[in-house]
Amino acid sequence: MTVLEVSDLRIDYEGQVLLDHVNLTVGAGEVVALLGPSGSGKSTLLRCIAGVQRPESGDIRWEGASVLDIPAYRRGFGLVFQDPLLFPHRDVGANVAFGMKARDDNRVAHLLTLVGLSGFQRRDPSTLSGGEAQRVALARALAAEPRLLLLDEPFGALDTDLRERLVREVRSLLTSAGVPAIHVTHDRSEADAISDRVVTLAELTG
Amino acid sequence: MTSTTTRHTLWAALPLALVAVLVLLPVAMVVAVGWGPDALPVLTAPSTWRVIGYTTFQAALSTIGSLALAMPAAYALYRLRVPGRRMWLAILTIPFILPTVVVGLAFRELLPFPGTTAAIVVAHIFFNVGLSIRVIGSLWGHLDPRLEQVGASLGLNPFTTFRRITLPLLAPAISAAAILVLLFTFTSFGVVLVLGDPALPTIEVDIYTRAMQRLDLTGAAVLALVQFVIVAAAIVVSSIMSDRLAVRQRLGDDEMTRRLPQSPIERVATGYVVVLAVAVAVPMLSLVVRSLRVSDGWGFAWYAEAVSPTEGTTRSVSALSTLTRSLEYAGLATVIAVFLGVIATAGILAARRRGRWLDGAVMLPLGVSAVTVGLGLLLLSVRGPIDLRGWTVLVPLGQALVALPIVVRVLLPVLRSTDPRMRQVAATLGAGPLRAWWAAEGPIAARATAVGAAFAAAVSLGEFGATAFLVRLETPTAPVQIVRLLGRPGEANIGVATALAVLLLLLTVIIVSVAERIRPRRGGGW
Repeated sequence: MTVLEVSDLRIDYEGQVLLDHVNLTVGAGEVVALLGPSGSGKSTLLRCIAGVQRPESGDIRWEGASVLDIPAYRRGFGLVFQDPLLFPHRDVGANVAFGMKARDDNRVAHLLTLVGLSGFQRRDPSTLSGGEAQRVALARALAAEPRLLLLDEPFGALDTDLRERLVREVRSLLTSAGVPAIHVTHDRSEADAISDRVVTLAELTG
Repeated sequence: MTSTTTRHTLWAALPLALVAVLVLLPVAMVVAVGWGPDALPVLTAPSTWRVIGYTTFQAALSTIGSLALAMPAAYALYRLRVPGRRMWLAILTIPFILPTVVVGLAFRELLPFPGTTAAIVVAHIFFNVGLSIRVIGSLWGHLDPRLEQVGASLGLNPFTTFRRITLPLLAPAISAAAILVLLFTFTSFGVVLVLGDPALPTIEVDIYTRAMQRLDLTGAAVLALVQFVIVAAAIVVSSIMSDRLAVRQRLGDDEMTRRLPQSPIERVATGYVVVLAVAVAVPMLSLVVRSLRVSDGWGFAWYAEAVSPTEGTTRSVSALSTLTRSLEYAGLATVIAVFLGVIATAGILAARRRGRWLDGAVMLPLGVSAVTVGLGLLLLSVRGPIDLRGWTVLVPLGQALVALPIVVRVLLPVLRSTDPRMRQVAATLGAGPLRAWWAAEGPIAARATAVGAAFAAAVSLGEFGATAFLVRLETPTAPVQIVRLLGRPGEANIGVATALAVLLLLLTVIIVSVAERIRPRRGGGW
């Protein structure tokens, strides 16, 4: 069953057409990897789906209903950037709990264990390594119980060993959580390892 | 290694001692006269506490108003692409450097409610809103907008995102702006004297009335001491608070890309900048208009009267002569302020890490207030070891001490930001230490000094707080003459005062725009 449907999307950047005629579907619980070179507009497409940017034309539908006029904070789409972007004024636990309706310390502990950082609740974000911070960002996104997870090269800034390990972990995490996801990357092997289906940007606009 | 350290310390210590003596002298005199059994009756009088309470009240209102009006403009100017950004920012910053009595007069003629607390607060906001915008905006412009997008993707609505993410991250800048505005408005003098209710004095006005009208120098010194203690306490509390508010956030060197306004709120914020800039420009323009309004229509009669006054009135001191005197004093004050400022900056830089506290010490006159500087020098001339009454150099000396912090604020960040490797490169190319320094830092140091001098000149020209205590009755400066004219009844006195204020305004704006033109585009500061 298709949950997300992007149809005939056009995105401009500084008055120039960046992407046109984009079509993409994501099924329930499906993890789709979106492959393409840097600067090709993958991230921008993701930002439009998340709702922090508006496309020029076309439609984005969730379970058949258009979400274009729904602001980002009501779409329920989690977004993880290439940088962890942890809130520097909150500790790790508070970062994870940020999107919860009511703070649930047991769930925070559970999610941190899930990403391999149990007991990190009181740590200051500035003391974390890049890999640790990115895993906290992932736990934070999952804590808000998104109906779709958008991952924008979340491992792009990490070294190869760590990246391969995290890709495996995240794959099993997504499978067990049953959350559909779009994972943007420019790395073919990463795309293969993490997803059920790999699409290239060229195919989407073709 | 040790010898280098010792040499640095020596280099720093000697000239700095000179600056320290001059800066601390007025304060020491105030302490010497105000500290003692004579202080008790003043301290226990209910009227004293009413004055302190009122001073705090109007300062708090002014600070809240300035910050509240600054926030949307800081957002628009530092986060959004606003057409004409530099012009709006320049207009909003001009008031900060304007002579206080000129602004006081402008609002007195413009507002329907002069002589009230509201009038004081409006004028204080006018002065400080630009400063608040710059302080808050410079942090806001460096905040990563994606943090807010993360907030949205976690389901937080824009209001909650602002309250839980943006506001805490901006807290250090907001509190820094708040303490600056609080300091300026707590120690504000010229504005309150011209615009306030005579029955509701602030500490500064009370010090002035006691010293200059009731000749109660001891009472004045006690109040100055009380004020010094309050200001010092406020600075300590604020530095503790800012340590607690400090967020370990990595800020980029460059400002984030400002984007075009999209949502209705963003468009409103952009429009608000224009409205605020116009609101700031109105008092200045209205003063010009007011100076041209004469009994039978419009004309330059007040300017004519300013140049060749009618004999036998307060105006018999030609306004033009007060302006030339102001320029002479300001020139001398600038020389003194730049001399002291260069010494202080060199000392702070030579003392390296230990210079941090010196950095604060030179800022002392900001908290001590111009009135205290004036009172201290007056006490020195009357009760000091040598009778200095009527010693003309006291006026520019007082003005120089008031301008000193600004000179250091301009010089220090620019010189701190110079790359030491530039000097090393010059040295490897065979330049001696002096030539290497000149090649690496000379031009920028010279420019920064020129900017500092221009600001010192502008401040001295409009200086009123210290000058009011030190100037001789028969040889007033332009700001002092304006206040004196306003104290007399009659349309002609107000007319000449506005004409004089406009001339002072023009001179100040010219000096400051020259400074902005030669200002080096790096370092931080104001």
